[in-house]
Amino acid sequence: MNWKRLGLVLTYVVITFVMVSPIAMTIITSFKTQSEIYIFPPTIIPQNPTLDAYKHVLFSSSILKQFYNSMKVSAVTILLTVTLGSLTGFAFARASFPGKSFLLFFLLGTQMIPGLGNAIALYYMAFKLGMLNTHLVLVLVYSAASLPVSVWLMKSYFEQIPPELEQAAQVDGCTPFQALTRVVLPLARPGMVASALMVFVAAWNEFLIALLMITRTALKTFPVGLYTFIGQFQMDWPRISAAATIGVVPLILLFLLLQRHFVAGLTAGAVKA
Amino acid sequence: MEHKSTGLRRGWPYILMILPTFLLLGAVTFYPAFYNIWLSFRNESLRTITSSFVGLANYRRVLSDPFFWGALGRTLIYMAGSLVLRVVLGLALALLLNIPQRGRSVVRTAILLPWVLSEVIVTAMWLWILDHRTGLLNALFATVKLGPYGWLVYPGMAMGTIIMVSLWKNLAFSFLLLFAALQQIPVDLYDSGKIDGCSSAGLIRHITLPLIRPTLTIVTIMVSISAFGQFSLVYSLTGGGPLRSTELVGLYMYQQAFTFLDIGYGSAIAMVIFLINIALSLVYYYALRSESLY
Repeated sequence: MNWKRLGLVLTYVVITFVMVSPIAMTIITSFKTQSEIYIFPPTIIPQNPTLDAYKHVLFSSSILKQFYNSMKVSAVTILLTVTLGSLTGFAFARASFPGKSFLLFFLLGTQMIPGLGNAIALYYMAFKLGMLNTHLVLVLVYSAASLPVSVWLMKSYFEQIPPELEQAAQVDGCTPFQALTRVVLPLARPGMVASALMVFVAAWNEFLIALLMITRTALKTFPVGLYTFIGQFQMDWPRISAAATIGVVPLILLFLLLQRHFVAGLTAGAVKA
Repeated sequence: MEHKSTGLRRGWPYILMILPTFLLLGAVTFYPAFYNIWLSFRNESLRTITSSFVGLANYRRVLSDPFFWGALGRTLIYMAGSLVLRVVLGLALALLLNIPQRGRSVVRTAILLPWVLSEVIVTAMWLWILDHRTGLLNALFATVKLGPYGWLVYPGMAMGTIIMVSLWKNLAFSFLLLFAALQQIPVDLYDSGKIDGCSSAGLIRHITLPLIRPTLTIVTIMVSISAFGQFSLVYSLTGGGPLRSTELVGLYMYQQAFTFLDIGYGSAIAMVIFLINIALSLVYYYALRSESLY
């Protein structure tokens, strides 16, 4: 019995090592000097810890600006998607109106259109409209990509909230809109958090559309900026690791804090599509 | 029920709530899909100003393009390899972590971590680990007198390497869904199975697998669709090389449209990708419908 437990714990250690060590090594390497990274076995604590790589990334490259661009695009996308997703999800959960089932079908249909298949047409549209090199086009594309899942997620949360609550609010003199914002939305907060995190991960990480739409260095998002940076500083692993760490740490901290909501949001597309 | 509106007079606030979402989806999702069909029938190019209708010429070119078929074949290999590994390992990990034991939530978190990272960050981490001269992985193999291996530089190894790195990043998805399905199974079922004399393997085969079949179907289709649409990881980690060995169909489409600036031809490839996706989604739909009969 004890051998079985020992085997289990050993397997745990191996799995955790495989999953975490690439991330841990990147963070450790970002504090090393160029010469120290070739020592094997690699040192876990840097012998001559240095912030040179960070100094370079923060002050002599565009990574910080691009980090800010990604934050901005993600934040506006979250705001737009969660607002529209909540309103639409609520209407679908509560109302019956002509064409409702058709609209739900339409919503599911958008999920069949792959992002890869639409990329060229979206680029050409933005090109003709003069919207290349704008963050607005990214916000619109990312919102449209996340909205169907966000609507389904919010719809299923609203369906769990008894409609009697809003009726009571409306009897007390609320308009339907006030009943939504003051009574229902606070109860649906877990759904909104899950929805927001799903949108955040998708918008923060998106690569192809950002690569196509933005060509100006100062306007690029973080993943595209990091891709360019990797190309410029080939083999300079401390600098590449420092740039990557700047992108990793906020995401991992957020994930560790809100793991449960992350899981709810990121699997929402599969659980009920 | 009273809260449901009976006519337009009660329904219009709801229609206002829905309208912006559908305007956005119409403009940014549906319109481009139709625009793409239109583009695929034209010789639209970013190099010339004029363009004209060319009928099915772009599609004929797709069908007779050996590089397209090569890319499609590699995409199917990537898809099959990813599917088998992610489902089998996802299920193995779900079964392992379903055993109550202290510390399992740490392992669960560790499996989920790479999943939230972007493909380019994953590339930044693995490029060095996989470097054939100075990389950590070859240094590790050298301690047991193996290697060095050209993980990303030997055409015969690069596809396997890409599949492994994407497995590391994406394993969480199949693991999570299967883990959630396992936790829905009542413990009593296992108890009665044991009383009837089932071994552990027998319990998995006769109780676990039949009960998680619907989830296995969902995972299979979702992983297939996402693997088929792979672009970012191959673009940033190998760029399709060496010698086209990791050139997947999404990357090929990108190159035709944006390296050779041939929008019309790229659109025709996009249409083929689109149709294959529809086919996969329909399989998904019908497989799920028949599952619900059980």
